[in-house]
Amino acid sequence: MPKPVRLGLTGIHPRSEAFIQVSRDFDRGRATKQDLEAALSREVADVVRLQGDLKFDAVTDGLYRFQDLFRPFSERAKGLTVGALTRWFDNNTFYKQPVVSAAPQFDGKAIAPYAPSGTPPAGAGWKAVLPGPVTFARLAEDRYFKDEEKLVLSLASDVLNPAVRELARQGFRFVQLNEPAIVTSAAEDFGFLNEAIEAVFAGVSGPETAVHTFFGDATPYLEGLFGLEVDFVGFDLLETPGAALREFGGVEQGIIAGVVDGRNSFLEDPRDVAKTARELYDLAGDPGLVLAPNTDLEFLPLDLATRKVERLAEAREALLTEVRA
Amino acid sequence: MTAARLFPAQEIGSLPKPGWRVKALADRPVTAADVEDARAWAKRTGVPNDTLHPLVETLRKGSGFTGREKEAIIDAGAVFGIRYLESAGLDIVYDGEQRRSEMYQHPIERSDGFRFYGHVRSWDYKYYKRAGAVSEPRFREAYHLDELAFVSKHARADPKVPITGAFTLSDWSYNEHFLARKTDRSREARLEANRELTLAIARNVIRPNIEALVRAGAKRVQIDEPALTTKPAEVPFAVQAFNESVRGLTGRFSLHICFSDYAKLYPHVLDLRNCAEYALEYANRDSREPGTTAEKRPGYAQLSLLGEHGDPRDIGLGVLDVHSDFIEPPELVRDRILYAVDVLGDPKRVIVNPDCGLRTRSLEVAYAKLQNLVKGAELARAAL
Repeated sequence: MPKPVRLGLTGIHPRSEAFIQVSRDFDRGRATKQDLEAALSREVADVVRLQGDLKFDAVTDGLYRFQDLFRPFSERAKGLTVGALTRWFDNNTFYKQPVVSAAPQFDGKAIAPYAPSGTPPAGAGWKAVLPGPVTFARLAEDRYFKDEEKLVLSLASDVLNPAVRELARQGFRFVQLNEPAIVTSAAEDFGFLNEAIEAVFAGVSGPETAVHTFFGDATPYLEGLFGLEVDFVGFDLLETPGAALREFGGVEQGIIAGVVDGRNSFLEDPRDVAKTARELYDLAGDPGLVLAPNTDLEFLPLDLATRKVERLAEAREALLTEVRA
Repeated sequence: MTAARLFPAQEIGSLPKPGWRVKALADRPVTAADVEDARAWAKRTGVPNDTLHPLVETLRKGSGFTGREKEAIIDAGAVFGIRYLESAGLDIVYDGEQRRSEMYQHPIERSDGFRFYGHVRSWDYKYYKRAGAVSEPRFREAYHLDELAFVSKHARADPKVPITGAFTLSDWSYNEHFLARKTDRSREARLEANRELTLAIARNVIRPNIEALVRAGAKRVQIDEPALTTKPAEVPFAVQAFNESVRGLTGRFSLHICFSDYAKLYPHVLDLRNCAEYALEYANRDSREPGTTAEKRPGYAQLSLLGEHGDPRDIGLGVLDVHSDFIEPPELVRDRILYAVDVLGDPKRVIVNPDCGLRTRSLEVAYAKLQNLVKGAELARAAL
């Protein structure tokens, strides 16, 4: 029985030129909230349709309601506020820094306005992408705990866990935590990271779980990452050499293979992508492989992003043909 | 070669564009209120009647402006920008970049070797149009010459031309051309491809532009590099690019960087040549409490980097937060300046400016901020 090879989106999807115009108009007081909502619904429908057509197993709504990865929480959680505009890693894209000024507390139901609703495409389930607790803590301004470990564990237990529980209750199929900070600013202590990831998923059954890393080379952290209690661990294969994963050897978890570059317009050859993925296929545990963009695709205009997603699907077909042979 | 008095006040780049200018250029109706707004600002800033009266006549048309009328409206916008800065009391001015669409799109549209793909988000509902570098970057036209000629004709204060630097143009473009030549996509290969693109832009696009500006009489050129510290490993070739852009040219050249960790610049920036000044953002990270001690001025902590590294350059000191409507009191501006003097040890090394361009503020807020910047510099002079 061959292992599954699936497709996944990594995070925030780019906006269409039509939506960009409406949102600019809204920002300048020339379009109404209703205009914006209608345009947003069209964006969501388009990205869901794209994934459905390409036979994605777990489908995101493009995270179109996330102004940045933290915003649902910095807008809605008690103890958090929306802070200064800050560079998102080494990109010309910015997020508003969550400011922690009291003990954080998030009502899980508050995630609903930011999450997809309704029926996913036939045969698919919904996928949620949320910030991992380490990235959340390292990119926040901590005026309350002044202690990274305490902040990480509180964000995991009191903010992210209620959201994940709610998503599980709503029947989400896949919950992915994006953790670029683990590989860009060094995660010295996987002890508390493991504890934090367990806290995020505590009491949650149903969805498959994942921690995905990008923007940095995960080679030094492989042992810690594969020690996490999740179904999938993800890598940016532009940064993490496939050879490092091969050297590490087979693992129990599935692997999210970030095989197309979300930060360059250069279109990958699906045969090359399939070749890279083939080398990881044998290493992955029973959950199999998810072929994905290495990062969010929002660093590309929508047209290019769509073509990259289509190439991802072509690569999967090429890989499956080879595996079956 | 700073202006004659201590703490000369300068702008950094963009100003908000007046509503009548934006609407007319976007083919949206210009209202009677817009015309009144033009009159009011003209009176306040001393825009001459030979600019105001023809402008008002044109704007009264309301809509359907011809190409020639739009050109005249752009020219009037530039006069408004110059007079706005001069009447606020600045010593060194430009036109508030009234002719430019945006600091990346404007130069890329006027250079060869790039292809625009579409918009990407910068944050929230802010976007920029992003291009790929699809062939060797080439000079097509000197894209700031018309501006300089116009500003030189209309400005009473010293003009300074802001120009986006090679590294930022490279970093904000998708690097296709040079990456395609590499045999792999390893980190080393990408770094080398980025170095090649940055230096090609510096050599083929930025340097010819600056040469043209200097030939046309530019005495001050500010190279804007907001991306410079984005990727610390790339700072060394960003420095090379600056040097290539201005090597052997006569004039005062400065480097503007903002919203960055300036520690990442060192020691590489010590290799900058023909760079007289860093114009840096500090106010954004500072407290609003008055005072001249290190505790009261946390935003200016990185000023000490210059002394620690023996870097003798002047500082264009950011004393206005461009992302806030808070109007800095003159006393706060004064204290920021006096603290910088204390750290740098020489008042002649301090020029004062906003952290960055003020385009995200309203005309009203930006003007009040600039007026207080000038008053704060006066208070600092008096205190010394």
